Amino acid sequence: MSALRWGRGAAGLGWALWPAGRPGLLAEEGTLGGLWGCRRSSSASPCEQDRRRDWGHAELLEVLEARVRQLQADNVSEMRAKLLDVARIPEADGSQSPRKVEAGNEGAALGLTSRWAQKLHKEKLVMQKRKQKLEENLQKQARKHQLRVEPQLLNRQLAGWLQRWERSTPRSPWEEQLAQLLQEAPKRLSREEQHDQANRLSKMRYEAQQQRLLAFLECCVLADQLPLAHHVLVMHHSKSRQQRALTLPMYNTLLLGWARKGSFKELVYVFFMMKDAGLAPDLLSYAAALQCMGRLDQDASTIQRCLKQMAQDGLQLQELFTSLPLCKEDKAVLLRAVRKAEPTFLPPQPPLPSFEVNTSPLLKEIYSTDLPASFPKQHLPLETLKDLFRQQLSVEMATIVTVDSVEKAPSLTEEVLQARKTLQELRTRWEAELCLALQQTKAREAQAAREGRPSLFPYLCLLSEGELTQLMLQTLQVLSQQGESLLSLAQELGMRIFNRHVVQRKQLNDEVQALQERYFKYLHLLASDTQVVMSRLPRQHWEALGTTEASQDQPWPLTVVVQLGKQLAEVLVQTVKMPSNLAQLQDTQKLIPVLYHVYSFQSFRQIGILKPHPAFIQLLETAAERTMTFESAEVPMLCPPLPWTSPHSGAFLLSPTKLMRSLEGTIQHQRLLEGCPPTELHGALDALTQLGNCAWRVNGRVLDLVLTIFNAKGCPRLGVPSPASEAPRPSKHRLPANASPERKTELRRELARCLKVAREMHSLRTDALYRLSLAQHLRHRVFWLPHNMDFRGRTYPCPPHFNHLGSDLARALLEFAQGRPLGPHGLNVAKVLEGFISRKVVKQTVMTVVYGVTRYGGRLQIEKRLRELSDFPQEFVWQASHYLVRQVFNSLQEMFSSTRAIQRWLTESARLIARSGLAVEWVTPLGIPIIQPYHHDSKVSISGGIQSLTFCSSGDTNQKPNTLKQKNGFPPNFIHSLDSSHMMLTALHCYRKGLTFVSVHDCFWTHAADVAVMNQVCREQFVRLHSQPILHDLSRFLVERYCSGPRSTNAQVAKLQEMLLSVPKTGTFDLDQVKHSTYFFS
Amino acid sequence: MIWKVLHDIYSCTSIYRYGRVELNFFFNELESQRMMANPLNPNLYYALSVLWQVAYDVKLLHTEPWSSFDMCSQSGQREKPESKESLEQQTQQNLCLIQLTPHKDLFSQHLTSVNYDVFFHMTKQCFLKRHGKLIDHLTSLSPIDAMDILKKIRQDKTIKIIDMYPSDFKCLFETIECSKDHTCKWLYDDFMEDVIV
Repeated sequence: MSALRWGRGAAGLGWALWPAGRPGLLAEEGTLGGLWGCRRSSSASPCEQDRRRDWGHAELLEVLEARVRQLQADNVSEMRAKLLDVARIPEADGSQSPRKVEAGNEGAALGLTSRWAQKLHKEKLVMQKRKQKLEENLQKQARKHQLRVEPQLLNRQLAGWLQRWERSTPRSPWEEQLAQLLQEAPKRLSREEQHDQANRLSKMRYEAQQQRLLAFLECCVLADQLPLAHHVLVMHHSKSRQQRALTLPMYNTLLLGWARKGSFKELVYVFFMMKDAGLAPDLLSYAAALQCMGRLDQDASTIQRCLKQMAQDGLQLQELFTSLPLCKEDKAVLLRAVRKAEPTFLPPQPPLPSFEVNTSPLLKEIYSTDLPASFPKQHLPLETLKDLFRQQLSVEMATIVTVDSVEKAPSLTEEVLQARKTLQELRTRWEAELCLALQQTKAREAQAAREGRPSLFPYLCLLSEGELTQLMLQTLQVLSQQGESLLSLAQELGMRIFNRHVVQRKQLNDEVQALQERYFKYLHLLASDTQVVMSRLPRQHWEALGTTEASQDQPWPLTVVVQLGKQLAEVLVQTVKMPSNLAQLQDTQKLIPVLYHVYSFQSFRQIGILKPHPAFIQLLETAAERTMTFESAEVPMLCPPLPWTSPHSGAFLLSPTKLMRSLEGTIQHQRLLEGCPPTELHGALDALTQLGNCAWRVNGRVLDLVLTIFNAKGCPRLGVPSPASEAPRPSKHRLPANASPERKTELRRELARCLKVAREMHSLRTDALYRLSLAQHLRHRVFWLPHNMDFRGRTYPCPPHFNHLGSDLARALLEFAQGRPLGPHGLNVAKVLEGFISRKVVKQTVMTVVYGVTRYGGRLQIEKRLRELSDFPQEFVWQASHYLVRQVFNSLQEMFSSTRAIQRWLTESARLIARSGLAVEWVTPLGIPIIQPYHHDSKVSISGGIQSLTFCSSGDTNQKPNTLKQKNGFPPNFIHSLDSSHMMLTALHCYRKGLTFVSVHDCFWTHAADVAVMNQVCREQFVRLHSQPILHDLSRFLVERYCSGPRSTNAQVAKLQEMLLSVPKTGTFDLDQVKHSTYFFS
Repeated sequence: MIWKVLHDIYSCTSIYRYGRVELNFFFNELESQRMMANPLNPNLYYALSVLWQVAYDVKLLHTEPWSSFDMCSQSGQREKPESKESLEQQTQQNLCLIQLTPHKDLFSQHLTSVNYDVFFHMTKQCFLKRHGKLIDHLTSLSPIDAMDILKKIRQDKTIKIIDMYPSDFKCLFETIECSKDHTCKWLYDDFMEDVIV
């Protein structure tokens, strides 16, 4: 045994010869050495440190050895099972370990016969060998399970310094170290230069790796796995190549984590590493240090030294409280620390946002203080609204909503009951099995993290195993018969975990209580029976009631989301099994998987699909449980939504919602929105807030009618989809054996046609089922539809299944909760316009020509309309559509020549901008920043596991912009953004007049009685908007954005500037005519 | 083009509408090698090899160097090669005249022009992981017990995809297709592929 340990010692000596330090830092050695001196002694220190660690191992080893001997009497296999437990004994216990007792009683062997002795000897040898092997294994295990705390520094001086000080007794206080560390913080060598030369692809991969590592560390902190994060950081830090990938935010994450725990020793270790890596501490690092001191209640002088150093580094004390994303508690501790050093210090008050007012000329009337702010109030009293808030809160805390389906319930036959029982038994079994499988997965991932491999461990720790299991079972429950692509399933699962985690964190941070207090105060403004002294808009009032904390939940990188979802999907596929014959549940039966991973071949791609066993689908159908589960953010709200105050706070109470929706993984909008001054967004924030504040209820009579039709055979003509039983069926299933090949081919075609129709019907039916079930769920209730917008500023209701967007059926189900009698003009609205159809045929094309529709697309549009006309001879559709599109295009070219000129100008500008390597950006007249997220596809692939996933993202800003999409997209997107501005202006002015107002893009609603007022406002605002020098403003913005700065010398940019400055003339259209036009908006 | 011909013969449409037609085509060398490949030359063995050989008797008639041909574009102009390298590569290669004679017994009671797409899918999926074992693939092809199927086609459970001859795939398909006591034989459905109708 001792020989073995000696060997390890020798290995330690070997390590001493291993060169320490990084060539990159050699230049600084002079100054550092001068400061700390003792170069000689420091050179040997890294190995000493290692040896110390070895001693730690040795101690642990002894514990394990003792245990091995204890266990030797038992058989070996049992021992192996216990190995893991033994290895997990923390190092701290090692100090009290029983000392080694010399074993082996050789003398006894002498008394026996030689044959026996030989045999015994042999056995003993075998035993010894076995023991040795076991010990080696144990040793390995022990090292695997130990997390590293002390850093291994590459800079020799620094390492020596750390070493000396660690061994010195009594230790000089940690604070002393920190103060010294902060002094003379080396400025980082310009590493970026190294990457300039490296090719784009590897650079991107490198950045993605960094992003993942940072997200990993942050998640570790959230999941209370700080030691693991520290271990991983130390591991990376100890290898010079990996160290180069470490960034300041990574170290800061750890600093902040340790500071919150008040662990000064580890904090100093991280500072050591930062200095070793050549990184200068920034504001956040100082905030962490101060916070830690605050928690440990350290004396004033230490804090003073720290503050002094901060000032020397050019960092402002005030900024600690204004520009850092710290939570309330962190700030309080920070303030305590600062006050110790400077008792008179006052943290700067955040400026009250409501004092700042938007200055856009279009919004002048809205925000003018001459008149009191006006907006429609809710029709409910305060106490009712408070109660509704509590209900909505409990819904969001539960994260899911279970809704009864409106499908006809089956009669409870023996068969149905049996199927339900079977299903229940299976679920109970799966729950337990999934929990177990998750534990194993977590153990595996934890191991991966310890070894420094990429790992999902902290993400899996955010939710309990039970919750993850529920999530997986839900996924299984809703999987359709055709299955779902693994990629989208994984992404959805990953996003759900993220959302749930955010909600949970808000609960843990006591934000719920604060939210409730603030919301109740806010309700005084909205409720029908209360008054507020100050006249403010809802958003302004909300802002005045407190400060909005910076969002702390950064979205995870898309790759992490997908990876996490994929991991869970894999567990699901591997774990969930059912008996091959569902009729009899017996343990002896053979188990077969419920989910299968199959491939679908679509042109050149192979798409992995998860597909349930048909027998399982059959079981679900028989059981006919008739309940559905929705995420709480998919259901309309039961109380008025939170007002929008920033790009990421508003709408739902707890579930995270974004002001601007975008494809998952595109973040440029978010960055733009966060970067622009808050007042610029006021128009959009207020319009969205008010759209969401409109109270709705279900039109019960319409719902009853629709439900009757729905549960009968449906009626496609009325927009009520038919059930599957109404789908067309192929005439014959069985062919005679001698049927001709022709006949067979015909049958194939017919089958395919039927299948296609059936599939379309199914998706329509499901959509209607969701809508109607939610309507039934909300019948007799008042509810609200929170709104957000897309990247062009068009507004949408957030709940996807049940809202006022969509077909006539969808709209007919809803009515304003606060009814008003029809006014004198109300009847006109109810009249149906005749002869509309002839206009409808070409309307879409005329409208879309302005958006740059091509002749081909135009023909398709017209063809579609013609097909919808039942009395049109269908054989002539093709010719007729050709004829019409030619006519339409010719006449348009004459009529809208100036419109075409503008369109050309926009297209050409966009082309030049995209060519210069940037995406097209602009700002709407209301101040919303817009950026077109069209880039060349970046491929991300995630390998390993059941399948490698590859997905393309067109929103990756590291890729060059996609010129074609940028240029073709600019005219329509620009016009959409103007339309949306017009809608928001109309909305805001309607509210100003106290009208209820909602809209679907270019279709505006109000009470029938108020239509006249709305019409007037709508026209006025249209004229005002278009009286603005919109194109000149755009031109000025684009020149400023793309042709200024160092870029302006470029020849390409000069060409762009010339193009941008040649703004086309607008048409001679007299805008005032709009005010009198009857059919301007119909 | 290749897939079009394959779909045509398996669905008895287009030129195969009225029966079996023998075709003689020039293919480039690599492609023709693939068409005729089997487990003996695993590097060239693909799903296409199986589908060709199950449907046709594939015979190499003649090999002719590229240099004997003038390359013309559609407009009749002599086409310029994209780069010098590709020209050199091409001229070193040969064109192979291949005779494709449809098998008389391509269709059986179980493989028909109605369900051939399942056979296509099965073969393609198997060759996604060519070096994998058949038994692993079977679990994602059919809910029927993999060991039963292997027993029926008399294959060892260690057999790999690239060790199976084209006829083995047909046999495998027919075995699964004719299994009686299962309501569901395949995990595949029409939704999973763009079927040319």
